[in-house]
Amino acid sequence: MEADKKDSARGTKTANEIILESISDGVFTVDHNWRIMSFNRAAEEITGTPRHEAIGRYCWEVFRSNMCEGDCALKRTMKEGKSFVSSSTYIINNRQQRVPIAVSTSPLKNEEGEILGGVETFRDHSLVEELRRELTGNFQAGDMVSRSKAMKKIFSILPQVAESDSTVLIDGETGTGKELMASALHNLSLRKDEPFVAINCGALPDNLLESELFGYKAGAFTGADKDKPGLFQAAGGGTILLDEIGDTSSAFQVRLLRVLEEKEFQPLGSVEKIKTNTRIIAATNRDLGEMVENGDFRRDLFYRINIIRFQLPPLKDRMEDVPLLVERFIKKMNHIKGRAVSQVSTEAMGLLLGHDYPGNIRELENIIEHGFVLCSEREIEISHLPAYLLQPQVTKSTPQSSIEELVRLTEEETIIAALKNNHYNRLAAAKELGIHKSTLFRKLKKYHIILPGFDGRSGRTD
Amino acid sequence: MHVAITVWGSRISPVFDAAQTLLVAEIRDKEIVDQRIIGFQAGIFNGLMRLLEELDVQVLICGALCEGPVRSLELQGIEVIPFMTGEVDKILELYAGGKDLTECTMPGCGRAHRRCCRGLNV
Repeated sequence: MEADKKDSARGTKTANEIILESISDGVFTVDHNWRIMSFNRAAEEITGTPRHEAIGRYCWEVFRSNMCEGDCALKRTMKEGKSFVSSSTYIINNRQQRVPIAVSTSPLKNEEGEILGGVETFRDHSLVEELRRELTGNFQAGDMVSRSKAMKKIFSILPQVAESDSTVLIDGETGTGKELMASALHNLSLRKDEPFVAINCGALPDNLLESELFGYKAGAFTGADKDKPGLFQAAGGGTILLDEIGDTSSAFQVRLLRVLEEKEFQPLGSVEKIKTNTRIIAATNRDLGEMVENGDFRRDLFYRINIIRFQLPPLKDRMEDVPLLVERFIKKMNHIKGRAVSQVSTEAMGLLLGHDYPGNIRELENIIEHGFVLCSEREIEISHLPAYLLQPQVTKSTPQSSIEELVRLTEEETIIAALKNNHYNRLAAAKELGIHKSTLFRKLKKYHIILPGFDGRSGRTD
Repeated sequence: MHVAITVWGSRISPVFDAAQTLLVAEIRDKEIVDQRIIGFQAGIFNGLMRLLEELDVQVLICGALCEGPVRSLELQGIEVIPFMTGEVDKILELYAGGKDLTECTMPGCGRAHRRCCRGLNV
């Protein structure tokens, strides 16, 4: 009888081992000292670590997840004696690749209910991530989310633009997510495994900017005691974002144009040119077209970088995104700060929807962070939001803004009047206003002036 | 020479991307003459490169790291020794003494010391 029981237990154990070996989820168990006790075949495949090397080692040495150091699911399980299901994270396999995974953890108990350690199961989510990206690509690209029509249009063409390798110009007010967009373009491109580097061109004087971008040779100037490679070399076959390109000097623009055209650059103090394969993305919060017209930006460089242009709308023009962004920021801050805030109250959301966000998405993120600091409950209330949101918006009544607003309104009204005077004939309206036709079109776009179907020339309709 | 190690308590940080602390040691004549701890954000890559340059770091010893950033750091003239694991003091001592670091390599990455896993077919 006893022998039968033993045989049956042995049989169950063997069956369990066979099952563990045949499933596609990676499974490993650890003891109380975080040493790996068992490691199945799928775990070997996903991590790239053979079982005989994994057994007995610390789990973080084998698993190599970005959660190991901070928010370790297994640690929480062992501490609280509870199971956790499907946290998304990534590991770095032994081929130096990032593998997205979903992780579940449970305490490992014996028949008496005594905790022997923990079990971690993980699933390779590379394919799921790829599919999810395709499905949610409609309102999500990289770290950007939006339900607005204008942004959805951008998201829909983003993968093609990312793959194209062409130079891209991103323009939008400060805080609209230009760097996120550049990063999304990089991550969707074939260059995604290469570095993405960003530099704010407006923050540096010419010489420093050139040495940062192109590097220098030892002896190029006082203090240059050894060769220093620039960001173009650091980016290699990756992507470089040149932010605030509109704030660069004409001399720098000439150098940059040469790099774009010849695909090579010369480090300071060097006589030799270095070939570059880095993709360039330029970003600005200024109207480069207008700057070209006024002679403040080189026309040749403008046309060279303006191959594909994305105009990121300010947040006030896509208020439908506020709830989505609020949800995103709450998730992000819960993760960073280890909190469990669930949402903003209806009243607080009303207030957030009534604000016009001169600082755009960055301002909204700061508002939510402010809410996190003051909120100790599960819901962010009006009282947790910055006081200026409760006051009537005064920005428009400051002297500078009134003048700007007045100029804006006057210009808009003058354009509409000129169009009406000329029966919506754009060329005639531009002549009357004393501006070029292309300037008129730009201003029509800027002020969102909608033209009627007929063009005023022949009475035909479009 | 200056050597930087991404640290997690007394150990090497398992994943470079999640590391928040850098130990920078100065080695002269096989002796560690100075050590200091600096906070950093691995996620801001060019910020890190600038920091390593400012600290005159020639060698970076770290845990798991993807191939792209390794190449960028190498282009910057920094020797990268990724996929290392274990107690920081021990590794630093071995490195300063010019000794072999194979025993400190992460499991599954042992066959190509200092060039862990690159081109390895498992």
